[in-house]
Amino acid sequence: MSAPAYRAVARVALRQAWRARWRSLLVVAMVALPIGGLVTAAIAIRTATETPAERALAAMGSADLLVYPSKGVDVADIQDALAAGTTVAEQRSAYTETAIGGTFTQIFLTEVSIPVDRPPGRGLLALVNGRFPSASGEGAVSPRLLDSLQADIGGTATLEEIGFAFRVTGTAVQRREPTFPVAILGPGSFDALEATRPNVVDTEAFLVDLPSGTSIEQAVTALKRVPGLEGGIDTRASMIQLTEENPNRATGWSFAVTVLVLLGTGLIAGAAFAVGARRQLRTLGLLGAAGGEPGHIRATVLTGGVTLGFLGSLAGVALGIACAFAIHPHLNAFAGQLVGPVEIPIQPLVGAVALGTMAGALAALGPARTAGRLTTLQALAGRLPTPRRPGRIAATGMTAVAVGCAIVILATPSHSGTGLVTGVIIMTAGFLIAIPLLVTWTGRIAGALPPIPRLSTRDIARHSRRTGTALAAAVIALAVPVAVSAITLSQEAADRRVPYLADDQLMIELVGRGADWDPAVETELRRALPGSALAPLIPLVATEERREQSVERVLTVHGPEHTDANGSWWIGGQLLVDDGELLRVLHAEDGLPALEAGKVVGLGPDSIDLEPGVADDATVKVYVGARERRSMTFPASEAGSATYNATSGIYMISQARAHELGFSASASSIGYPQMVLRAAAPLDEEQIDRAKDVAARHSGTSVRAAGDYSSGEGGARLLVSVIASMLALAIVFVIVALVGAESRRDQAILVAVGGEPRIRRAVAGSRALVTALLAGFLAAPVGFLPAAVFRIAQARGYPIVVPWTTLGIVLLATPILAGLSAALVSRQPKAAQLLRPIE
Amino acid sequence: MTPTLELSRVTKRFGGGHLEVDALTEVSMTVEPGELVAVMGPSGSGKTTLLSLAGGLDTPTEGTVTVEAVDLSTLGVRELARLRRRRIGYVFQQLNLIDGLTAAENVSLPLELDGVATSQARARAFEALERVEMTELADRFPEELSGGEQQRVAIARAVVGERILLLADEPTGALDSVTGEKVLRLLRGHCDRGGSGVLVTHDARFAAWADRVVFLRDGRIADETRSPEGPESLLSDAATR
Repeated sequence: MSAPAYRAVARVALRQAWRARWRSLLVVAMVALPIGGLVTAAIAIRTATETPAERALAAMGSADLLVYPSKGVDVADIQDALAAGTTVAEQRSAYTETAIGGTFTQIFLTEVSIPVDRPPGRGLLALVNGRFPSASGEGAVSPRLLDSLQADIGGTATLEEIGFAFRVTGTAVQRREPTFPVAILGPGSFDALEATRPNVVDTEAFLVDLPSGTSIEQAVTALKRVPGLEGGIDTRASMIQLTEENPNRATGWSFAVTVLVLLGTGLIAGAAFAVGARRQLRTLGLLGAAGGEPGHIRATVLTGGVTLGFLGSLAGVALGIACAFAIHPHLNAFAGQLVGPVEIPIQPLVGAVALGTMAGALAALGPARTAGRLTTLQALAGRLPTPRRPGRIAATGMTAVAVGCAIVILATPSHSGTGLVTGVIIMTAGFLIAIPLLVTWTGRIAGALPPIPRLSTRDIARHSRRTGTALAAAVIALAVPVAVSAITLSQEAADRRVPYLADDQLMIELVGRGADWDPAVETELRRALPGSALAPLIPLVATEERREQSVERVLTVHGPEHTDANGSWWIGGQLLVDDGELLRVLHAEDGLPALEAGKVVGLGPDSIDLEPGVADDATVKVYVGARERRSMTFPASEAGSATYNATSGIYMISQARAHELGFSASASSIGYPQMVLRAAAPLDEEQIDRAKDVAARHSGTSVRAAGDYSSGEGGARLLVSVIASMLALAIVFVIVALVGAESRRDQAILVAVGGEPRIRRAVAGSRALVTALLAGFLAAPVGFLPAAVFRIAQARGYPIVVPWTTLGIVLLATPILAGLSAALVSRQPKAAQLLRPIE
Repeated sequence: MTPTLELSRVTKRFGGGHLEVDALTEVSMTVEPGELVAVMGPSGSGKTTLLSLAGGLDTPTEGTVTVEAVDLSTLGVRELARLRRRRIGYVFQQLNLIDGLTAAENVSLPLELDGVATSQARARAFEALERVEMTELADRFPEELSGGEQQRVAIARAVVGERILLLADEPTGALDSVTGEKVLRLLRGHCDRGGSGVLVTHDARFAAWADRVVFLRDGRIADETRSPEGPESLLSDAATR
């Protein structure tokens, strides 16, 4: 095609697009929405993802070297080995737990011997408010910890458990986990603590800042010569290399996502574009009459597609950037780490523009081919050829569905990820291709419907090739929230699969106050929660005489070995003494006979044997001591029908049997003393608060209910589902509107023959309802099956939850809303449109 | 002299089986250079079908259509399109112009599609517009022009370049008689300059502008007259049978 010819057809295409502004805007919107989603995701991921350099910063601050501790090596040793001007800072840490206001709190303390806002520690933490500590006795804490400590900036935080206090100078967070309960202390803060409690403070690492111009390699070589330095040495380069992701994997994922978005956008925009192309048939006919060849006709349609695709992708990029800024304040929750300011990566944005433009071209491809095949006469008359029934391609799609199903079935027992994903892709692709064929089958039920829905269904079935594209797009749009909801709900079910506690249980702990409970705690709890039972968890020890000293050896039980996708592991726990009260409190009364018979009773199924039920002669090994030097075998049984995370790994033996074996009780070896409370009925929020008030009145006492252990990610998952649903609904409504726009001619005829407005509205509404309903029915399996397969691929036994609410929205609410909206916005077409071809 | 257009025993059949319809049956006619032929007949007589065949927009079921001795059935789709760009011009009853193009752009379209440089094409378009007295409205869009003005632009597009055959399907159908006469003058002028034309019309007054009138009925040529002396001569038994 010559340049003047191309300019002429481009002129026609662009002017037509401008003249049909609303239709063009629709096409632009259909490209902009998915591209906008892609751009938002790209920006969010880039902003939230730590680069290897950022991870290195979080690990070693601005230091050139990170030297891990070795016994007997201190700052001076390292300093002496390196060039003059080298700065070495020691990073020390301590851990403690406390109960404040009845709430259990973990605290991770860290101190750098040089203020952390200077090299080499600069960058380890990010300051939120106030200032970093600069002297001993000062500290900055994470905002969440500040709340837990019930302290303020400028006030004092006291940790009675370790006899330590500091003045709070500000709030700061770890970059990777901004909610982590960390306190950064000023230089020298640990000196007094280390003097009184040497086992509490550990050296984490040495941060080394070399003078400029110093060779890193030479410094490392010099350090390796330091006597006793056995710990490793990390340079910034090695840290970055260690944390760099596999580029091939990233490229592979990017390619897969890109292809999916391209196809999806092309289909969605194609539905809009096909309508526009049909509307300009007469123009294309005039072009043919003026001597335009089929190539000119195709070029006209394609130019329109590419232009609208380009504009749509620009709009999508702008939309995506705006959305990224909008969600930025919430990114911390999604990412689970501190995210910096919005980072806009240029490459993905350029790629998104290219993708949207290609999608526009893809969308115009079908209409261009159709237009090029029309004779000039047909185009002038605005008449499309009689719709052909879906052919071999659609039938091939059905074959692909069958093949994909077979692959999924074969791959399911072995949880083969490759097989399952392959099968799902083939099945889904085949389904989408076969949609026109599936749509024609709906025509068979049309006869059974009342006149108005019959009209709509026949029209949709008759023009299945035309409607099929729009439907495929609507199916994809609706399938996404179905899939997202299925995955998020299934993940939440997996999280809840093993709850931490029963809903009538509380875990009470005495943090950092030794082994002796205040008897008033139990009394007040019973008063606050009448009818409740309490039982302490008292571990057993074996006392051995060693060099004229009595040494307590912890008794640990090794349960059965488990194997799953993550590997092999076994559960176990400490052996506790129980007179039966603990079994009752732990919902394991069925273990009482075994306990009285002198057996070791494991709490929960799979605690003794993985198979259902336990043989009468089952046994379990009990190891004496931390290094498991000696073991004994005991007859064992299981008790309780459910497993809870907070009380897993509990094994009990009766007091009498323990006495026989020479075991004695030790309240200190399990960590903090713990009690379990079982209420008379499931606990509500008010009862839990009453129990926490009791704990708050007793220093070091914490109370935790089942809800206190949850990750809090449910809100983020819900938000993702809602966003996906809203986006899908927007796309579906636009597609339904486009399909309805095709029926203007029919509506004009209806008016001309005397159809009342209510009939016209009913027809419009029925068409929209049938279209959306069809899309919903097809979207349900397209969305749910991949999600189900994804869960199956993960591991055996992972729950698969059917997202009934989302399905209700897709199958009921969306069609009803679409039908009502179409009926309400339907306008009386001018009957004169009857006299003209579609334009 | 080689006829500009020759239809030789042309039959056009639509549909099949019990739905088969013969739109034209054994029609033979020629159009010489400088000749304007009017085609008249009742609705459904095959006038538009004849015009479509003459312009290569459709192919006959039987018979041959030649333009300047070239059998159109030997030409492919692209060659036929080239023929319409260079040698054959079309004028319809209405909606002749592409909405998004100005009058000048509509006229220059065939030239640009043929690869003529835009500036050159535009210059030649203006020449054609000058012939139809539309240069002042060259930059107007179709909706800014009256029906008659649109038809004049359509004629300019149909004759721009070196088109030798002008096919007009009821070009005055949507116009008043005064405007219609202006349009006919343009058609006549094209033929007087050596071009050829086929005019489909219902109106005897406009058919009187032609050198010859062909009457179609039920797809066949019912009658043919030459050099009518006035419109009244067309109101004969042959025309009204």
